[in-house]
Amino acid sequence: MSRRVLHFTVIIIAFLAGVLAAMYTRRTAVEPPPLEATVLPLPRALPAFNLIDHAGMPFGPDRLAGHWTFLFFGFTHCPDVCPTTLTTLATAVHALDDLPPEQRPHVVLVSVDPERDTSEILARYVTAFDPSFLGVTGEPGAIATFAEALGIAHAKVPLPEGGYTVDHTAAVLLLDPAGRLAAVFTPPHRGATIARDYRTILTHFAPAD
Amino acid sequence: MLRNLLRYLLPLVMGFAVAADDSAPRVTEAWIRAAPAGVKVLAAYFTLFNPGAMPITLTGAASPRFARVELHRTEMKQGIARMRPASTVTVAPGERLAFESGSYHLMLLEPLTPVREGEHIPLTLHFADGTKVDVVAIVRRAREEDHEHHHHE
Repeated sequence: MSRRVLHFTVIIIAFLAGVLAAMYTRRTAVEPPPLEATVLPLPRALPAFNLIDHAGMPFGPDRLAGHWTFLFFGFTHCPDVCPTTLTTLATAVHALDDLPPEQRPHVVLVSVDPERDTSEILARYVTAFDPSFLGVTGEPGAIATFAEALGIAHAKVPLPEGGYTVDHTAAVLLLDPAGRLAAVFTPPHRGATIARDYRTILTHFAPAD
Repeated sequence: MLRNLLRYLLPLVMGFAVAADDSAPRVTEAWIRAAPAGVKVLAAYFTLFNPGAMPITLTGAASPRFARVELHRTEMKQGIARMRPASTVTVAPGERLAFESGSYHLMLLEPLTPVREGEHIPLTLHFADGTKVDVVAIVRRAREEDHEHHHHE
């Protein structure tokens, strides 16, 4: 009698454990870990743009196709925020070195100071942080339109001792392989966090198309 | 032997202010962010400690290696990074203030000769009471921990 009860209990426990295990696996498969980045509910397509990369080549929507891109707006006369962010992005991409090449993100710095940031200056600047980084400049109007489409504010501000600085949104943007705005990383930026969030986005939010 | 001794002693001396008395402002961990060749604007960071009984006010700085040195502060407002000149920075008695990324820094403009990683660059900090503090800052790359802000305001 007691033996029968024991058998019954063991079966019930095994069954419940199985159900719980199934629920747990399902849960972890569906629910992504929490993100610090803000993922857009729907990736936002960008209007066409025509900029110039640091090699002097045209930089249009085709240059964002087929890979993920971290986009940051800054300028080379920026001694604090811009080099900090580029160093952080270098840390982030190095932490993603194990991904297959087609899943590794590209990093692009778009200059909000096209007057001073020529292709040559940008080339020297961005590649010092990582040889794979790309600098992009262009006509001030084209930069302004592109920045606005991505929700990036920027304004030239004169300095009392002469010269000027440029206020700009310090967010890092993530564009999906269709060249659409997929996620926004707001400061303060940490390389490890950006890399972790990128993996999560790749696994859980990657577009089906 | 002497060379070895210097090798160990030099880092201890680096970044420390040459202060005449115990109440003089103390500057430690001075460094300049190594920048790509051709960059005209660099930033210097350090920790400023006021061991005295009176507030100290930093009014400016100079370096023989740069045409101009300005006091600046980076502020983040609604996600927008703004860099603004700070005319003075005051440190209360017994307090220390970190000049760090995302906050106060010295903006070093127009290097007179190229600034290379690993170099030691002299800086002089000027205070309102006429005190001048000489500092040697090392040019190095930023480390991730330099970017973790410790603002206890």
